Amino acid sequence: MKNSRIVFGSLIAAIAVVAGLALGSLLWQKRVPALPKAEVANNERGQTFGIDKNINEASIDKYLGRDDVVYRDMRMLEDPAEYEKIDGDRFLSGIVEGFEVTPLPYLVNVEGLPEAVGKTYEGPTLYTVTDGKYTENYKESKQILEDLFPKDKNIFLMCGGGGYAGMTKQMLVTLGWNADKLYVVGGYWYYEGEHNIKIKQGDGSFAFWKLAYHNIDFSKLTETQDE
Amino acid sequence: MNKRTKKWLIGGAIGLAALFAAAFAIAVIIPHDSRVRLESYGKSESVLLDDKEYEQMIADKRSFLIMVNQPGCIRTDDMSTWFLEYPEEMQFKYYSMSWAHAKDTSLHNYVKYAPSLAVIKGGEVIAWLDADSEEDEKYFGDPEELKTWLKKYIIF
Repeated sequence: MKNSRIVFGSLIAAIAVVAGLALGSLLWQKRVPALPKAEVANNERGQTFGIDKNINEASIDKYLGRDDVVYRDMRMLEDPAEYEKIDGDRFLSGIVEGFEVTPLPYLVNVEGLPEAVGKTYEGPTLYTVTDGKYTENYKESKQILEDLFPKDKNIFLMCGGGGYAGMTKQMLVTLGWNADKLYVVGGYWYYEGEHNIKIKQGDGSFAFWKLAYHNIDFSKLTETQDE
Repeated sequence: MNKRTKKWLIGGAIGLAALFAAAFAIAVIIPHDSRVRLESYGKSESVLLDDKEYEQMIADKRSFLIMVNQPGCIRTDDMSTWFLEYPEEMQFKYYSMSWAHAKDTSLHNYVKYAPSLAVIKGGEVIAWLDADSEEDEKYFGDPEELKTWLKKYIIF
């Protein structure tokens, strides 16, 4: 008798938990609007960098702070390429709130920069791309990439002008990520929204401590050629 | 009033009316050329501006073509190359400014993204290319289409 009461009580409790979860899920779906489908814009920026038609610099504010999205800014804190020679900005001078810095030049070798800016970062990278083919440089490369860009989440990519973000999408798609979950949001230089975190300060210094930064310590990784 | 004076008066009135009609036709009916005459032709030449120099040209009510570029943008380089390859009669002097400067000028009221080209007449922006517009995409991707756009706003 006592046992049957325990079983009955447990059953009720289980039903209550399931109902609670279902209700919570329903409320969550109501609170967080569905993301528009990832769709490359049919304009100059879309054709050049793959910038998204629906989620871009102008609309990103509506899609910040979501649990179903990871936010990545692909710039270096300071790019060795001398962008100031072409009136550019080699420093990460600001970021959209919630985006975490994950520099593309540490993920893969970057090529095709304008001659005037000289060479960019040439140190170790997780992958090397040659003629569109990506080769792992470390045993941990794939795992790190999957940790930084979880496949079960939507991935929002930004950088300064859109180039690094576009190149990141291209890399991830080539390596097996679902293009429908990858959004090239665009460039911070064009962002005029309400969530602008300024890193360059009035005196010209940079408040890098305000940034969430994904560091890759290559010295702790195992080179594939070592195996 | 004698007959001769009357004739003079009528003739004068008709003459004046004809003058007004001609002026009206020139000003309103006959379409005038609203395109821009650039400073020099025959050679493709680019002059780099910063935000202050641009604003001074606007204040001086100058007429010119300006290219807004983004460091590292492939397409902007393409446009400069296209200009060099245009026939001599379609080559011209133009100005260029980086996005870093452009966003701090009055041009930012029109141009929201780089790359872009803008035509300025007497200190007023009369046309610009929008990198975020589907309609303008053809001008960024094809030198012949861009030539058509330029001819619409610039006297060659």
